[in-house]
This record gives sequence, structure tokens and C-alpha cells, in this order.
Amino acid sequence: MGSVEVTGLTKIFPPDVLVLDNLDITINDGEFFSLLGPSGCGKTTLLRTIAGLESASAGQINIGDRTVTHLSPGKRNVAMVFQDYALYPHMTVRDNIAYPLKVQRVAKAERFSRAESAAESLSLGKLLERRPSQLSGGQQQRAALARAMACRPDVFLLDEPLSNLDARLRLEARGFLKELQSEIGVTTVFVTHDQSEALALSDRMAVLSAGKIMQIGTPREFFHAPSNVFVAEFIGMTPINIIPASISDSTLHFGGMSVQLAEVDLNKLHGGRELVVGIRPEYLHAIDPLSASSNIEGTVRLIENLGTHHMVSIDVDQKVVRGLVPDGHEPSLHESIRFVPTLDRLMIFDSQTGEALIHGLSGSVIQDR
Amino acid sequence: MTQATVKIQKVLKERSVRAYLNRVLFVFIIVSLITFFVLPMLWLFTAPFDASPSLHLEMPDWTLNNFREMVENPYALRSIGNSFILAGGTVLIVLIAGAPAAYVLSRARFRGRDTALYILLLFSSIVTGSAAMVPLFFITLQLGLIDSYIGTILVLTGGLLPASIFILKDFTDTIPRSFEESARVFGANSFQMLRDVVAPVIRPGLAVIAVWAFVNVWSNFLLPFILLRSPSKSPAAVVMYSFYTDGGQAIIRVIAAFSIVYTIPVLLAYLFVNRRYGFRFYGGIKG
Repeated sequence: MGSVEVTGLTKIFPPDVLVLDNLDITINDGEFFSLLGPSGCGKTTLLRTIAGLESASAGQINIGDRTVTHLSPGKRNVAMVFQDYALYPHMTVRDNIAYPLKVQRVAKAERFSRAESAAESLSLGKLLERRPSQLSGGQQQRAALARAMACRPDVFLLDEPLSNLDARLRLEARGFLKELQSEIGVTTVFVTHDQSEALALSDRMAVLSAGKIMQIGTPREFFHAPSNVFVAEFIGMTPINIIPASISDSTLHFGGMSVQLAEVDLNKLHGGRELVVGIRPEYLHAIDPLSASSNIEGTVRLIENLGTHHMVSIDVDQKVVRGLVPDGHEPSLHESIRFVPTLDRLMIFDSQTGEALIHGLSGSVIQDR
Repeated sequence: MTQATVKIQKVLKERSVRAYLNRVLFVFIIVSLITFFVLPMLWLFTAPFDASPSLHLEMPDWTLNNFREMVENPYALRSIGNSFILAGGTVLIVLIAGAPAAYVLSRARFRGRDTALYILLLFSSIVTGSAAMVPLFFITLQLGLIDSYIGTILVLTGGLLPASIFILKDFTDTIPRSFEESARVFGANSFQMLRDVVAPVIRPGLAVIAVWAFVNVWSNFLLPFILLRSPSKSPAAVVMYSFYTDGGQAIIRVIAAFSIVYTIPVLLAYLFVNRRYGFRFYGGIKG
């Protein structure tokens, strides 16, 4: 049983650096859970604390129905794959994979048969006699995974295992990792700084910043309903547009365009707070210049080719706004272009606290011409 | 052929002649340098087999009598054994004390670690230097360790240990902590972690230190000369100094034969380590 339950976990590095600040996370049995955040946010420390390599300053960690907060790493029945894989250079792949079993005093014959079947399932069968230095990066990564698999742990802890691979291989390894995890169904905690990895792999994920949890949820929730501006800016292949907004009567104004707000949304925005609108470039479309719709207009300053789309950056009131234009329809540089957002993908944040107020408007764009 | 092409050919010819001369000069300089360094080596390998060796290099008058004479000398072979006791003992203590110290200095973070390392290195060059000779002699005398192997070994160890710790610490620094951490996550206790993971990985470093310390002790003359009073305990480096006739004449036959016997263990030590470890290091693996 491999659920992981972290309650009130605090970690202070002496003398007084607060790395983890009173964290509560529940990771369900069999779940692929990612810890995502910029470097220095505490995600690796959290993983190492779950593994037992760092001691908790306060709080509790449960794995399954055992409390492991003060157990040594070896007694927690977790397996960890390190960023550099930590394959022992003086041992063959076979001995590396079998090493945890040797430590656990598994009989030699069974030890090697388990190591071999783990290696076989990760297609390392022919490389068992090799030394780690004779393996490619991808093979090393799989050897490290095989070693973790062979111990049959309750929980897999993966510390950026993909970051040492080159870009092409990383995509392959990512798919492979996802398949493997759903096949063996082991609870997996995966640390990464790459939001696309987290979105692609996770059942659920958490974003950390400065030792605090910003949000916990599914990848879809993160993409469409970020809880604040920080998360909104951190998630997504393209940088989200954050545009200052204001309300007069029941109309929302931002970037030169106006939206008639529905009653439900207006109620959420009461109190005359300062607002910003968040809109992903994916949901900002170019419209016909002759259209009567109000819009965000600007001159094109940059066009980036993303393959199927081009990301077009325009200047609006000295700020950059980015939108996606399908391949073949891209404007030319310095031309004027008009964007309109998909309203039900538009988010509104409190500009002071950064907190999200609305995910998806139900109003209508004002036709002003 | 036009005049121009003739001229070009002439220039090319001159250039190739100059390059050729440069080459000759270069080879000549290299060869004379090599000769300069090789001559003593040649003497080392010919003089022991010469019936009447001198300090000149000459075609030997082949014989093995020099070796018989050396073996008959009461101190010669015994001193080689003494050298082995001193060098072996020192290497043992240097490794047993140095490896754990280096490991801790590399892995533990504590206040004043860098200062400690700096002082360590500073002292290693002073402790066995001639400046410390008199105090060392007195300390050994007061401790009753004068003219004993253990006293001499301890003083030699004291001289080599700081630099050994420093080198081993640097070596241990290159080994990723994740090696030990992963072993711990898999459930290894400290002893298993050190035996299965750390020791094998730093073994080449230990071998380098062992050979270095061995050679250092083997060739050390001054310390054993001062600390070991009885001739029967003197190591080879000191005994070599005693091959004189009563008249004060150097016995070159014995010195020559002894020199080659004295050289062989060091050569073997280098060859062994080079064969076994190739002075190649396992570091971490990059992807």
C-alpha cells in the first residue's frame, strides 16, 4: 500500500533557512504525482525528506498506514532514482540492479533472477555484463529504473530523472516512464522543473514556490484554472498574457477591448479591486480587420515559428501581447493585427494578491464598430 | 619552363631545405637531452655486472661477483627488509588513518573545515622538513622510541599523512554523494555503504597514495639516519651510505649491485598499480 501522506511538514536548514513551510500533501496509492517548481523552491528537499535523506524539522510523513517520519531511509520501503542515476561504476549492470536485494539479504539465485527480469522488462537484457560507463544516457536511466523496480518498493521517488537526457531522448523516455508506471502501478513521486513533463506525466501534481504549495490538482486544472498568477505564468508551453484590466458599470476593459460581463461574474468581482486578465496565447485569435468586434490591436514586433502555429508578439500600450496564428496565416512584421480571446478560457486575477477570481468568463465581447 | 616558375621552384626548394635543417636541429637537441638523462640509467644497469666498475660508463666486463659480495655484506639484504618494514608500516598507517579522515573532511560540513585543511597542508611541509629535525629527535628520545621501527614509522607517517589526507579528500570530493545516498535508501547501513560503494570507488586513489607513500619512505635518508641508531635496523637508503672500506674508499662494486636491488621494489610497485588501476579514476557518470 503506497499512499504518501505529508502533514504539516516543515524543514529548516540551519541556522534559519525555511525550505519547506508547513506542507500538507496527500498522494494516493498508485498515483503519478509530480512536484513542480522553479529551482530552489524546495521540491527536491521535499522528495529527500520523504526518502529520509533529510530529517523533518516538524510534521509527519505516512507511507501506507505506517508513520515513517523518524525511520531511516532503508526502512521506509521506497526506491529513489537520482538525477545522476547513482549507478555504481565498479559494478556491472546486473550487480547494480541486484545490489538493493543483496542489502536486503535476498538469496543469491533469487536476487539475480529478479534483477534479470527487471532488466529484461526495461530491455536491458543484453547489457547485464556491462559497466555503467559503457551505457548510453538512456540505458543508464533505464538501469537506474530497473534497480528501483527490482526492490519492489511501496513508492518510487524520482528526482529529475529525465534532465540528463538530450531533448529527443527525453520525450521518448517520458512516454516510456508513463507506460512503465501505469503497468506496475506503483505510487510515484516525480520531481521536475519542467512544466511540460509534469503536465504530460502526472495524474496529479503540485506547484511549489519558496517552500509553499501554490496549488495541488490535475494537469487540466493547472492549465485551465491556475490558482494564482505565479502558477499561471509557470504552466504552459507559451508565456501567458497578463493584461491590466478595469471595470466600469458592468463592462470589463483590457488591452483596448471591452467585454460585457454576466451577472454571475460581476458578483465575483465586487469590491472594486485592481484586476489583471490572464489569457493564454493559444486562446487569443486573430480576427478579420473589418470585423465590428472590439479587440486587442497592435503592431507585430516578433514572429516565432512553432510548427503548426506561429506565435505573434504585438505591442499594446508598450506591453507585449502574444497570440497564436495558424501556419500560413501569419502576418508580416510591423503590420497591424487584431486579437480576440476565447472568453471561456479567460482568467481574472486580483492584481494585488495574484489570487485567481474567475476562470472562464460567461459574458460577451462588445461590438463597438 | 618560364622564368617565373623556375623562380618559384627555387623558393620552394630553399624553404624545404630550411625546414629540413630545422628538423635536424630539433632532433639533435632532443637526442642530447635524452642522452643526458639516460646516461645515469645506463650506468645503473651496466655497472652492477662489471668486474671493475668505476664512475665512468663503460662496456662491462660481465660478472655476477658484485652481487655475491653484496649478499655477503652483513647489512645489505637485511636493510632491504628494514626498508620494507618502514615503508609497509607507514603505508598501512597512512591508509588506515588517512582514508577515514579524508572521507569525513570531504563529506561532513563543520565550522573551520577549510582552515583545518589549510593548516594540514602547511604543516605537512614543515613537520618532516629539516627545521623540525631537532625537536623530532628530542620527542622521539623522550618517548623512548628512538632506535625503534615504530617510532620511525610514526614520524614518517606524520610527515606523509597531511598531504595524503588532502589528496584523498580531493579525490573523494569527485565522487557524487548520490552514490552513498542511494545505498542508504536501498537500506544499506554505514558499514555496507562504505564497504560496497565508497571503498571500491576510492580504491584507485588509495593505490596512488600507497605507492606515493611507499616511494617516499623508501627513498627517505635523513629521518631513519637520525632516528635509527643501530646499523642492523637501518633501511637501504641509509646502508648504501655505509659501503666504504676502512680507508674511506667507496666500494663501487657493492654500491652498484645494491643500487639495482634498491631500485627494483619501487619499479615493481609502480608497475603493479599501473597494471591494476592504470591510474584511471572512476568519477560520477554523466548522461
